Amino acid sequence: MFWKTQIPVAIVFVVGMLTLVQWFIPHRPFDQLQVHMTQWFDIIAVFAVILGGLNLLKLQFSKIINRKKDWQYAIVTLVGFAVMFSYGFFRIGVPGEIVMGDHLQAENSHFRWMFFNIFTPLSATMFALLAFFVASASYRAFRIRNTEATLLLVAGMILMLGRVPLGALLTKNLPSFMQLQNIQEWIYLWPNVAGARAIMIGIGLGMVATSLRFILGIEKSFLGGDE
Amino acid sequence: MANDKSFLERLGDLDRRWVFIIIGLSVFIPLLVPLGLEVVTTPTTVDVFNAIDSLPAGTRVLISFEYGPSTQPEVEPMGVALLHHLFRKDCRVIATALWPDGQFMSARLFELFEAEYDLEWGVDYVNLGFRPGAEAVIKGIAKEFRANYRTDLRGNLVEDLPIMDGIYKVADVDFIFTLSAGYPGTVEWILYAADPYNIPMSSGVTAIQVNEVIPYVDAGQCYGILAGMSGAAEYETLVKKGDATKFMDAQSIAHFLIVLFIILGNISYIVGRRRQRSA
Repeated sequence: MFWKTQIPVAIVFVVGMLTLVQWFIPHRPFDQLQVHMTQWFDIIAVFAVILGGLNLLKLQFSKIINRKKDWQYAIVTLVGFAVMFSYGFFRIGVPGEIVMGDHLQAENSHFRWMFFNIFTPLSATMFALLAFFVASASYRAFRIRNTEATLLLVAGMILMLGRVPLGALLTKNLPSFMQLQNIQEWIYLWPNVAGARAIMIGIGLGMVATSLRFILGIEKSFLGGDE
Repeated sequence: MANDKSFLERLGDLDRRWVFIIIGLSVFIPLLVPLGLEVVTTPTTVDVFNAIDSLPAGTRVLISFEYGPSTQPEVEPMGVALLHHLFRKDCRVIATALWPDGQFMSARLFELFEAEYDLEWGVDYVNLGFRPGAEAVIKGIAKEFRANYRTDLRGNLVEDLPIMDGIYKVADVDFIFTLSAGYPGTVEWILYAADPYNIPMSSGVTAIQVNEVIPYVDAGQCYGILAGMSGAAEYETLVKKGDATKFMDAQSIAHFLIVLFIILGNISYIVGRRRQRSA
């Protein structure tokens, strides 16, 4: 209990308080705390990559072993992971004497070739498919069921047309305040900013409250389990 | 029952594959046969242009690349136009990335400019590459740039690079520009670098991110914003260089068709609802 609960809570309290205090005392040694702590964070973040990799392997292997739905895709994932990892980490297919790190970007390296000729088009394709699903969803799901939905829909349509040259062309002979590009700019800068600010303030207050709960040991979900 | 439906009602049941085909063609045809629609600039784009245009020669601009292959078609045209604008004005560029993909994006982009502007690595530009840690990296370089970036992407020590002379913390750069497609990105640079240290900043973001960033633009914490591909096309029009403008024809037609789909879908919905009520 002591090692599993009280020590982690104490560490969070000390680190949390120090991080908080350094914002209010911009003098030594507190002003240096931020430098050191952000470097610690960077180092810990690197280890997260290892955890992420291990987690991917565990999930995909379990999918294959248990013959879960679409388990064949897990083989593709694992092969892709192994190939990119090997070529990147063991410097396979790197021309000449190129330092570690730079070898990923070297003009004729195999890693670079795979990144730009396999990963890039695949990612772009996945993202581009969104256009088709948005179009299909807009046809089937965007319904004017009530006043709020109607407002949202009309604003969305104005923005969609106002952001593209065709919108400007369609309304160029109308008075300035009726031109789509001006209406969309007004929506962006007034109702949208008002709503976005309200959400941001809400999120900010929520973050303060949650952070305090962590620092003071009220919130212990980061410990995992039933703590 | 289905046969009792009117034409307008049946319109709502259109097979989604027809929608896919129509959208596919609407994007594909204008790319092959450009319509040449005129791009109209918006004030937020003009603000970005004016901010960059007012930079004197030799200004050191930190550009952070926070996008990857999936958002490359939307964000990269902004980067192309921006780098043309900066290098044409003899500004110097320091590139960073908070996304692992970002350093690939930036490296590829610089290759396009090296020959055209006769750029020298470490003097006219440098690519410092990716660092993990999201906003912690920004907070780190806000205090000690070289503690977070000891070497550049080619393994050179940062302290040996002429472009980095006198840059010990982020406040020592003259301008920040972020090419951002999400978290970490523009908002984090504003919160942890530009605003606390009064560094002028501007940004180009994906269209979906504009809602998140526009309050900072409105408050003057970010000089304008390039909003999605249309923002890139507008900026290109001002810089007179780049490729995004030709994509705007395809986007125009696709947006127009989606709006048309929404209208037709709703007409079908209203007609169906009226019939149900009257039945």
